[in-house]
Formats: sequence, structure tokens, C-alpha cells
Amino acid sequence: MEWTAIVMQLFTGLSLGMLYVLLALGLSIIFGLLTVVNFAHGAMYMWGAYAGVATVAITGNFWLALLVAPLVVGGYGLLVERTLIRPLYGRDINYPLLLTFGLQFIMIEIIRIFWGTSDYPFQAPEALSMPLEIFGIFYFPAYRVFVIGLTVVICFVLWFFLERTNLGLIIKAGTRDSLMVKALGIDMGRIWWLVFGIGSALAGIAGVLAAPIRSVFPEMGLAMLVECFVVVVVGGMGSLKGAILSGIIMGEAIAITTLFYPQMADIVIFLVMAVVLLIRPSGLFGRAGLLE
Amino acid sequence: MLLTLENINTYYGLSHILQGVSLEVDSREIVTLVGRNGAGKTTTLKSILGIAPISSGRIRFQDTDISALPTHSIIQKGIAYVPEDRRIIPGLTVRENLKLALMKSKNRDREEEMIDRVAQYFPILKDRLKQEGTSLSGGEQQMLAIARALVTDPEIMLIDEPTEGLMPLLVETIAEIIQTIHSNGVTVLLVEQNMEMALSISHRAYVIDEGRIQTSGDARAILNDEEIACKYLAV
Ligand SMILES: Nc1ncnc2c1ncn2[C@@H]1O[C@H](COP(=O)(O)OP(=O)(O)OP(=O)(O)O)[C@@H](O)[C@H]1O
Ligand SMILES: [Mg+2]
Repeated sequence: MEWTAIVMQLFTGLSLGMLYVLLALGLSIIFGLLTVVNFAHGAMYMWGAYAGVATVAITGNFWLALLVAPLVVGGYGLLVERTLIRPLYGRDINYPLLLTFGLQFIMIEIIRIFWGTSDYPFQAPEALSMPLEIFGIFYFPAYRVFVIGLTVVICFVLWFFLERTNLGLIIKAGTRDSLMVKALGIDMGRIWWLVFGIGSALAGIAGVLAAPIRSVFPEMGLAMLVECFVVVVVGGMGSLKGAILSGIIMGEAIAITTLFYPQMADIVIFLVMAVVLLIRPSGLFGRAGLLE
Repeated sequence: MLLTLENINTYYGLSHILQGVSLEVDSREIVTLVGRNGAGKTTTLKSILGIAPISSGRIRFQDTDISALPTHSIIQKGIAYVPEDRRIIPGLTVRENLKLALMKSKNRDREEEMIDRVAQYFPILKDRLKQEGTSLSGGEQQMLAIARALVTDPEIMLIDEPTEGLMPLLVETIAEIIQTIHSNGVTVLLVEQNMEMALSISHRAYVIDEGRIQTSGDARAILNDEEIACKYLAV
């Protein structure tokens, strides 16, 4: 096998890994602060893709879709937290889990009603549709390079937000001892609301970014949700560093397996999970504090 | 009165913990709440702060009813809390712990100045602002917990067992710190197991047992009353 094919496949793995990273970051930040396991996260990803489809259908502008998807899904997340999840705080953590589990099927059904059950084609924008020469050795779809670049930027913005702003400090503190943060005069309810919105927006942007790479259909979030839970568990529940590293590892694992032993591609991440959890039961960064 | 509790009742689930507690703290007083383990001292403080919400009764602070307010709003009114187990937030530096307390206080725009000012009170903290808060020793963490309450320049501080687990020398230091804080105009509601220390620096005291105020009065008189000591405070 040509070695450039392997390097190319590594790039493909990286771009897939970036989708995992975006989704796992959203899941993780929500779990870390709110201890809510958001089972609607996959459906939010799917809604992000459809928000993209709708925006492009109306305006023909992909860049606008990239903006609209996280806004729509983030706004929806804010609404869900305020109306459905907030009444469940202070009860067993299974309540929000069951609620969001049910919610995802409602969200899927809504899409089936309005868009039908078949796939929607979604083209990458003109400007990103040609292959890009990488290191002068091989060609790689420009769109995937864009996905990688944008995810890196989003990770950096998130890092800056958490590490360098007052709000970030509150979130960091809130993941460790939210009661004490309240007892320092801070309205944690608003912070929980905001973070649920941010996590949802991340799912939305992952959805629209995934649309040109993977097909758009109502159940597209189901498998993705399971995969993202694997990513989060391997990274360590609530750890953002872990989500990033684990997302990339899983993307690469799938890409490389696809190249050498495609029959295994669908289950390789579960193998990786088994191995990692055998060695480190709480995941790669599970021992470190949440959101570190 | 600065702070008034009128006949408050607090439950944890079905257990009726505070059974009609009434208590008053006047401006510029040091008032101590004493009582044995499980008497309801911490619950009283948590009820004032809305952490353990009351089911009936009334709590007033500076003539406003705060009974139904959420915790963060109560704190923002000028009540600062030094919890029993210190609750220094892990993963944050000493400075960040202080900064967090300042964020919603009236001193939010004077961060440097306020941190400098509390560093005067607690020279040990001054050199450790960049160190992780939970890496401090027990005594230092207690200082930080008090400092964190003090940076906001509160009207009243609710301090829960500040000397728990500290060696005698540090107990004295804490007592002096509380007196200094008080002489700078801050009212203090103190909960203590160390009766000697607490009652010797307080003006008045309340004795709580089984969720009820059993008696109250001049701190020194309570300290010297053997019958009270026998009945409500002996382990
Ligand atoms: N979260 C809780 N859930 C149920 N019961 C509780 C809870 N916290 C305290 N209690 C009970 O309420 C009663 C009063 O507790 P509280 O913490 O107020 O006592 P305390 O006077 O502060 O005691 P100590 O000196 O040991 O700190 C105790 O019987 C305790 O078991
Ligand atoms: Mg107590």
C-alpha cells in the first residue's frame, strides 16, 4: 500500500475525530457542570444538520448555515433547559437522563413529519469543494481541512472562555462545588442555563459541519450519540482535555481500521474503549478534576 | 435588629430539624450559637442562607424579608458565609477563590485593592495567592475561608466552627481575627464547639438543643452557668 494513502486516511480520521470532539465537548461540559447526561445530544446534532439544510435551501449560503445551526440548536437548548430540565434539578440524575432520552425521539419524529424520512444531499460550499494539495504530496478535500481548522479554532475559543474569563472561572468552580459557588453570591441557575445552551450549540455546529461529509437523515444522531458516549467515557466523564484527545483517537482508530480491516470499522471504538477502561477505569483524564 | 429569625421550622425530608427557632443579632454584635453535635447549629445557618429552605417562620435582614430569596440573592445583600468544612473550591488558586467571592459583590471593581486588604489580615495568604487553595494546610484553608467571606466587605458574617480541628495556638489566632473583623464594623454570628473561646469573645449567646433554642443571654453568664453546661452542652 502507498504510504500517501495512509497519511491521507489519517487526515480523514482527523476530520471525523473533529466531529467527535465537538460533540463530546458539548456532552462533557453539560455533564461536568449540570450532571445531566444529555441523551438528546445526538438529536440536537441532527437538528443542526437540518437547520443547515433549511438555511441553504432558503438562502443558498453555506456560511450563513454555519451560523444559523448553532444559534437555532443553542437557542433550543436554552428553551429545553429552562422548561424541561430545570424542574428536575435536585432529584435523581436519572430524571433528566430519561427526559432527554424521550425528547430525542420526539425531535426525530418532528423532522420525519416535516422533511420525510429520506436522505438529504448537502453540498460543501463551492469555495471548499476542490481538493487541496497537502505538503505537496497528496490531495485532500478542502472541506475536511476546513472542518479540522474550524474545530481547532472552536477548541481554542472554548479554552480561552473557560480559562481566561470570569464566566469560565465560575463554570470551573461550579463543576467542583456548585453549592459553595451559590454561597458566594453567584446565581448558578443562570450559569447552568447558559452552559446547556453552549453544549447544545456545539452539537448544532457539529451537525451542520457533518452534513456534507455524512448524509443527512432523521436518525443520523442515534449512532453518533452512542459513539460520542464512548468518546466521553474513554476521555473521562466531564474532562474537556479527555474529550479532545479521545475524539481524535477514535476518529483515527476508525479511519485506520477502515483501511486495513473494514469489517471491524464499526466496532473498533468499542474495542478501544474496553482496552482503555481495563487500564484506566475512569478514562484517560477521569482522575483529573472535571473540566481541566 | 440586623438579622431576625422568627419561629423558623426547617425539615430535611421528613425529619423536623429546626422546631421554631427564634434568634436576633444586632448590628456590631458578636453572637454565638452553641450546642452539642446534631443540635441544629449548621442547619440554622443554612436556613438563614436559603440552603436549607425553611418551611415556616420568617427571616429578616435589615428590615427586608429574605425568607423566600434564593441563596445567591441573600449573599448579595451583605451576608457572608464561612462554612463548617471550609469548602475551599478545588482546582482554583487562592486568588481565584477570593476573586469568585468578589465577582457579584459591591466590591467587584476593586479586586486588587480588596485582595490586598485581606492579605493584610492574613499575611500567610499573601505569598500563596497563586497556589491551589486546597493545597494549603487546614489552618491556612480556614484563613482563606474567612478571607473569602471578608473580601466582600459584608454586613454580617456567619461563621461555622472555625476552630474545628485546629491546634490551640491557631484557635487563639482565629479568635483574634474574629475580634479584629468585628472591631472593623462587621457583625458576627458564630457557631462553635469551643465554648471557652467563643463565649469569651461574644456579647450574647444562644443555646440550641434538639432543634430548639433552650436559653439565651449574656455570653459570660452562659459560660459560667454549670446547669446549662450540664444539660445542653455536655457530650
Ligand atoms: N442533609 C441532611 N439530611 C438529613 N439530615 C440532616 C442533614 N444535615 C443534617 N441533618 C440532621 O440534622 C440535625 C442537625 O444537624 P446540624 O448539622 O445542623 O447539626 P450541628 O449542630 O451543626 O452539629 P455539629 O456540631 O456536629 O456540626 C442532625 O440530626 C443531622 O443528622
Ligand atoms: Mg454543624
